[in-house]
Amino acid sequence: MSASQRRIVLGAIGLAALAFGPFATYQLTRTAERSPALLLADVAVGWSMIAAGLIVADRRPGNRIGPLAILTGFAWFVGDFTSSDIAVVSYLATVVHGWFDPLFALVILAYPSGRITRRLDRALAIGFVAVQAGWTVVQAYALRPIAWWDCPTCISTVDRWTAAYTALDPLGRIETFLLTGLSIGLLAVVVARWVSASGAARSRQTPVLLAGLVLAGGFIATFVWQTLLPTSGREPVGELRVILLALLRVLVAIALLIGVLRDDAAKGRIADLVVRLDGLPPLPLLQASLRDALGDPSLEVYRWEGAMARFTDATGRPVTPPADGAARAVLTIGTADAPELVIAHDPALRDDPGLVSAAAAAVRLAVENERLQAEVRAQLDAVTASRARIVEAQDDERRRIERDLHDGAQQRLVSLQLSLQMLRRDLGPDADPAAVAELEAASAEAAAAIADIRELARGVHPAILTESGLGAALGSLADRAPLPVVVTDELDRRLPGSVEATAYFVAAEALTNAIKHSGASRIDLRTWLADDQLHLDVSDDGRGGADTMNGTGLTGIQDRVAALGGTVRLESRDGQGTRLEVALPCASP
Amino acid sequence: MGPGPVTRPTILVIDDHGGFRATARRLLEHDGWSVIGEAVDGETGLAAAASLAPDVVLLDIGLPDVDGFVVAERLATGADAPWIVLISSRDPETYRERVRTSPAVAFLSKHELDGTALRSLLGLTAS
Repeated sequence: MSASQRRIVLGAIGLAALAFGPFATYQLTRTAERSPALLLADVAVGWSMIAAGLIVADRRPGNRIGPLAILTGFAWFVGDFTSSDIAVVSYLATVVHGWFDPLFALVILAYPSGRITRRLDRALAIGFVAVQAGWTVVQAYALRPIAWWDCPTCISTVDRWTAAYTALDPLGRIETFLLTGLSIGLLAVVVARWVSASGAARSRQTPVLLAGLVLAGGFIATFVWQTLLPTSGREPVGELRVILLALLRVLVAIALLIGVLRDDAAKGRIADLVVRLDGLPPLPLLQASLRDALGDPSLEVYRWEGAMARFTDATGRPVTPPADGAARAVLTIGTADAPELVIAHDPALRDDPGLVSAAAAAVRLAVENERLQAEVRAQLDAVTASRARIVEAQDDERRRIERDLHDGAQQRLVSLQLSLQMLRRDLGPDADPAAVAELEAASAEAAAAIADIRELARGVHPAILTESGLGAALGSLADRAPLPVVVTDELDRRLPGSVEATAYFVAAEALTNAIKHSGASRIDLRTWLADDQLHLDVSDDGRGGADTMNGTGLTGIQDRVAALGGTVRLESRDGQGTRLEVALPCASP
Repeated sequence: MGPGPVTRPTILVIDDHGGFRATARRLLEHDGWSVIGEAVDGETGLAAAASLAPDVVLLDIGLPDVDGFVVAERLATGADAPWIVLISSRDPETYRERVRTSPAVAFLSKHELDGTALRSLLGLTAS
C-alpha cells in the first residue's frame, strides 16, 4: 500500500470514528441517566485511543501498535452498546466489549517496536487473549437468552441483566481474578523495564508505565469490588470514579502518542548524526554526537590504535573496552579481527534495536568513508609523487644524454676539426689546390656536424639552463626567435632543475606556437617568484582566439606542469592576443 | 694587466681531453706559441700556472674537478696574472653571461682554435 493509499484508509477510519464515537456514547443514555461529563469522558477515551492509533499507523506503517490501538478504541465504543435498548445489540456488545482491556494490554506489551519478543511478554499476551476468548465464549453462551428475550426490540431492563449476571457470577469472578493476575504480571514487566532503563530510554518507557498502572489499577479495583465486597453491598460504580478512570485512559493514549513522536525525534537525530558524520569527526566529537543522538549520556566510544595495538578513549587514554553483557551493551564497528571503533552504551537501548543500529550504520558509513578517503588520498599522493619523480628522471636522463653528446661525439668532432686545421697548416702555402679544397670541404662538414650536434643537444636539454640558469636560457630562446621577444627575468636565485627545465620547455613551446600561429609582432616573456611559486607569463600581441590547448604541444607541457603540482592558464580572446600563465611550486633549495 | 709584447708568447693548456691537448699543442706551436705546460684538471692547472707563469692560460670550462670559471677567478688573483682564454666545445651562448662577468679576456669554441687568430685577439703580433 502506498503512503497516499494508506492516508486515505486511515482518513476513512478517522471519519468513521468521528461518527461512530458519539453514536456509541449516545447508547449510554438509552437505559440510564448519564451526566454530560461522563458522556464527554466516554467519547474522549475512544477517540484518543483511535487518534493515537491512527498517528502511529501513519508514522510507523509496519508497527502493529497502530492497528491495535485503533481496535482498542473501537472496542471501547462497542462497550457502550451494552446499554442499547435493542436486546440483540446489547447482547452482542456485552459479549465482545470486554476486549478493550486485553487489547490495551497487547499495546503495552508491544510498545514501542510493535513486536512482542520476550518469552514472559509473550506468555502474558497469550494469557490475556486466552482468558478473554474463554470469557467471550462463556458470555455468548450464558447470555444468549437476552438476545431474543420476549421480543428483540424490547427495552432490556436492569433486572434481566442482573439475573443473567448473577448466574454468571462465579465464572465472572474467575475471569476477573485471572485478568487481575495477568495485569499485575504486566505491571511488573513494565516497572522492571522502566527501572532498568536510564535517561532517554527511561522517559521512553514512561507512557507504558502509566498505561500499565491504569490497566492493572482498573482490574485490581474491579477484583476488589467483585470479590472482597459482599454481593449485597455492591453499589453501581460512582460516576466520578468512572470519569477519573476514563481521563486516565485519555492521558495514557496521549502519552503513547508522545512516545511515538519522541521516537520520530530520535530518528530525526539519527538523520542529523548522518549529516554530522559526513567526515569522521575526532573521537570526543563523535562520542558527543552519539550521546546526543541516542540520548545516552553514559555512551563511550573507543578507537583502535592499530600501530600501538590498543584502544584509546575519547580523552586519548589507553583503555580496555568493557565486554558486552548485562552492565554494558557493546557494539564493534569494523570486523572482530580488525576493529575500528567500539561503542559501549546503556544496555536499556537494546529495547530499541532500530535506533542503535541506525546510529551504528551512520558511524560505519563514516568510518568506511574515512577509510576510502584515506586510501584515495594515499593513492593520489603516491601517484603525484611518482609522476613528479618520472619528470625528474626524464630531466636527469635528458641532461645525461646532453652530457654524453658533449663529452663523446662532440669532443671527437672537435679533435677531428682541429686535426684538419693542423693538416691544412702542414700542407703549407704551396699545396695542391685540389687537396686544399678537399680539406676545407671536410673541415666545413666537421663544423656542420658540430653545429648539428649542438642543436640536437640543446633540444634534448639546453646546457645553458644548467650552466647559467633560467633567465639566461630564456634570453637565448629570445635571441634565436625571428621576432622581438622581450625577456623580463625577475628571478634572484636558481630553482630546482625540474622546475627550471619545465618553465624553459613551456616557454619554448609557447614561443613556437606564438611565432607559428598568432601573427604577433612582439612577445613578452616574464618570470618572477611569489609565494614560493615560479610564475611564467608568455603574452603576445597576435590575433588571439587560441581557445584551447589541444592539438598543440602545450598538452604535453600541461602534463609536465601538473606533474610538478603547477597550473597552466591560457587566455586568448579574439583580437586581444594570447597570454599563457604558468605557476610552478618550488620549495626553497 | 697581462705581460708585454713577446716574440713567442707562452701558454698553458688546461683541459681534461688528451686528444684535444695534443692537437691544440701542435696547432699552437705551429702558429708561433710556446706551449709550456698542460694540465688535466683545475687544481693541477692552478699549480702549473703558479710555477710556470705563462702569458696565457687556455682554460676549458668543463673540468672534472673545479668549474672553469672558479679556476679563472683564482688565476686572476695573483699580481702577475696571466691572460685567461676560456674554451668549450659547447655553444658560446651557453656561457655568455658568465664569460662576461668572469676575469677571462676571451671565449673560444674549441673547434675554432687558431693560434694566429688568438695572437691578434690578444694584441700579440708575431715578430
